[in-house]
Amino acid sequence: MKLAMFGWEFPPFISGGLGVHCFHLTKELAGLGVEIDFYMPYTGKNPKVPWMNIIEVDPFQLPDGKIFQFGPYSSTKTIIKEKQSGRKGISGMDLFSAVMTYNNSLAKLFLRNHQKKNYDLIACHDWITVEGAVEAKKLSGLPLVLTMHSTELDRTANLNPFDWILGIEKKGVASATRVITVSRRSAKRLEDELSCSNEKIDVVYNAVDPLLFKSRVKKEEFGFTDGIVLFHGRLSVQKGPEFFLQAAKLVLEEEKDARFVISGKGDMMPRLVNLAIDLNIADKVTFTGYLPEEQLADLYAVADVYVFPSVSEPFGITVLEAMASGTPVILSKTSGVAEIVDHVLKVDFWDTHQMASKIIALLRYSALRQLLATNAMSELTDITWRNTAITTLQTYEKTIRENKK
Amino acid sequence: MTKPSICLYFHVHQPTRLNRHSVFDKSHRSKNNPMDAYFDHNLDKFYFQKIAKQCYLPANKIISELIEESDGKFKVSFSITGVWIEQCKKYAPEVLESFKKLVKTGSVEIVDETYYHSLSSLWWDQAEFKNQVKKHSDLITETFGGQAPKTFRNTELLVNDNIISNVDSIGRYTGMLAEGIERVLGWRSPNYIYSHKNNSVKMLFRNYRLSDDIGFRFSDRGWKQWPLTADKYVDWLNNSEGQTINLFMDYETFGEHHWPGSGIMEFLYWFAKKSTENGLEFKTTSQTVQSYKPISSVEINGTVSWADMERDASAWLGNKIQDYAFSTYWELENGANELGGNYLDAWRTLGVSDHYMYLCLKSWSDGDVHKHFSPYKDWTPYDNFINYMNILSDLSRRMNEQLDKPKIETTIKMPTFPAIPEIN
Repeated sequence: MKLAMFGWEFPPFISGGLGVHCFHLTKELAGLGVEIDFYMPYTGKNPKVPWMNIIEVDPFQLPDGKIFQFGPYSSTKTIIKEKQSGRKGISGMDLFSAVMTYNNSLAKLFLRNHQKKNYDLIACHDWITVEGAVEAKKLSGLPLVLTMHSTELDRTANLNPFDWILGIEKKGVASATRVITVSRRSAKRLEDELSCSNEKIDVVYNAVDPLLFKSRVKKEEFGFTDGIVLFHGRLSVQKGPEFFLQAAKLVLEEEKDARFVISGKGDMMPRLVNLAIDLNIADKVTFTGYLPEEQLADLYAVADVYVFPSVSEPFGITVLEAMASGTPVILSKTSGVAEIVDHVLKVDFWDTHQMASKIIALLRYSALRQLLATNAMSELTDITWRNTAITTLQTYEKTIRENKK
Repeated sequence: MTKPSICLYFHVHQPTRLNRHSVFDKSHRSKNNPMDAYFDHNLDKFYFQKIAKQCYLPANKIISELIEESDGKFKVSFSITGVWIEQCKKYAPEVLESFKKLVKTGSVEIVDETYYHSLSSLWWDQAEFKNQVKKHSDLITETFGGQAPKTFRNTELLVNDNIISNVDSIGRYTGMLAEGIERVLGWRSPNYIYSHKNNSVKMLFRNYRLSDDIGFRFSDRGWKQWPLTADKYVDWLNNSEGQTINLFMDYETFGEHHWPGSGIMEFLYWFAKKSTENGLEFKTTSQTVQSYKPISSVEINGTVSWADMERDASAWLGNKIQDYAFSTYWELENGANELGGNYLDAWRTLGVSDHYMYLCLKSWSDGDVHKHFSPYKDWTPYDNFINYMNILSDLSRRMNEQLDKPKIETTIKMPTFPAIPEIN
């Protein structure tokens, strides 16, 4: 099978589940004999991997002559806010025109290559590649599989979503031959909110590579002695960091020796710092900012509890990362990953008392921590990228078969 | 060849359900009686009345008819836990009355066990186990009159050599019930009375195949013997060899584990009726022990029970959180005994084995029997552990507060000594 895959982020240029997914998926697909051309925006860094051909789409210049630098696309909100507040930064319209330029070049470049290579299928990821993929489908007559890792309504937690992006998402799920979602929960949202027909959706769950989370450093090496409760993720409304801090306040009423670590960056950072001060727990909260992969693996390893209070989460790969690190997890029920893991403590993200009560229990009872960690680890033996790739390939093959009829 | 007799035994028990006990909710602290702070009486009442209607009352009625119609030849044995009797008195006293009537017929025998259906037999110190057995037999004689029970069944048929010796040392029991599995019996049949190698108490082994045909498989439409008719079943009994066929099961089998529409109630009636017609004799547990000579002797090294595929103690003490909860529980034994009263009652009620069953993770994610019995359907075993530990730590807090209080206001004045002059 010859596959043209349209992506956006790719390691080391990643910020979320999409990049991690593309990296592992393509690697495993290649192992299953799929020949892949991976299209991504120009980075100027000439990314290379041994298992596939990475094709960088032409650079595009901004009106001021600078080359557009792709940041994580999930920060569209930040860009707009900056625009609205008159602060400096790339304007929202620049991102949108950059996306449109990328998608245009994408379709043209694809068509040129297709004449030589004769692809069997186009696969693309999220709204950000939809326009180019839909155009490519139309021009080539090839079937298209669109994987929706998240939707605009997820990312904005339903607060002021962009109609423009919603429109592209609707167009994408309507035009794609088949659609892959990362959870049943996400499939339901696609049906309800983007009017996607139920019959064309397949659910393929994400996974984790436990070898990347082998760190077993001790917390003393970090200078910590207290029980460590970790939040890791983009600091945005969607990920629920405020609930984490509210729960922290409650925990500290009962357990003085607890430290709350918030890892990641995002537009909510200033608000969270202020909240910690207002709650009078600032001395117990550590903000690490963005951490590179190895340090993150260390942080997972030293944490006694990993809390994932996401308001609305199509999947939630970091939960699997924490499990792979041997760290017990408290998980929001409104997350896709909750559909495939049992050996975690599940809570309603808004129920900070329940969340705090579970954090306290994990800090107090080593037997509970150990049993959860051991059982979670064995639960992961079936949650592999290999399995993700196999199920994805089944969708690809089905799509090609049906398209020939 | 003489036909084996039938020893029919039913277990009657309901757990005491726990309150949802959060570290942050301090409202329970205003409840002075720990029994009210930790247990959800409303939930108990709900289940008890439901099961009384579905199972206890209709099943008792059938048994009473069977006894009457057979002139007392139909016989059955029950073990009834202390916590069940407590709940029955509060929530459905008419059920207790109907049990009393059954016992009065002389055809129904009560089997002893621990009052709290507890795991105390598995703790290294046996004082509490013996106290609970005594408390149970006292309650049984007080409730039903007559002599103290002569046979014993431990919680969920948990049995090993050690437990047998401890039960035997009480000195009152002629027989004890156990699971008739190959691990204990090898090639030998459960349909005989056995002696134990160093104790005088005789062993009655459950015929698990014939018992589970009723207890588990009766309403299973995937089972190739479904539907199980009384004729077919009596045929199986008739073709069995040995001294006794021990049919041991939960009383809730009738109307609760198998819903009334499955025909289980009719089955109970007709299987008993047709057994008698076919010349099969019913005996109570103590009559069975008395009637036959042991055919050989057994020893039981590892613990066996009638639970799960494993048939051991792992349903209650099989993972880290269960072991941890169990040892934390026993740390409160001395304090509970010292304070007595409601504190002792609450501590003992927290030892009801069901609380440990709810912490079992074996094939929990497949949704099996453990999930079915847990009162909080949305809770995982981990959640149940947290709740149980919250309650234990609150009980510990309360007990420490009480123990720190000066217990007796003494009127004796301590003699005052003259101050010792300081030496420079």
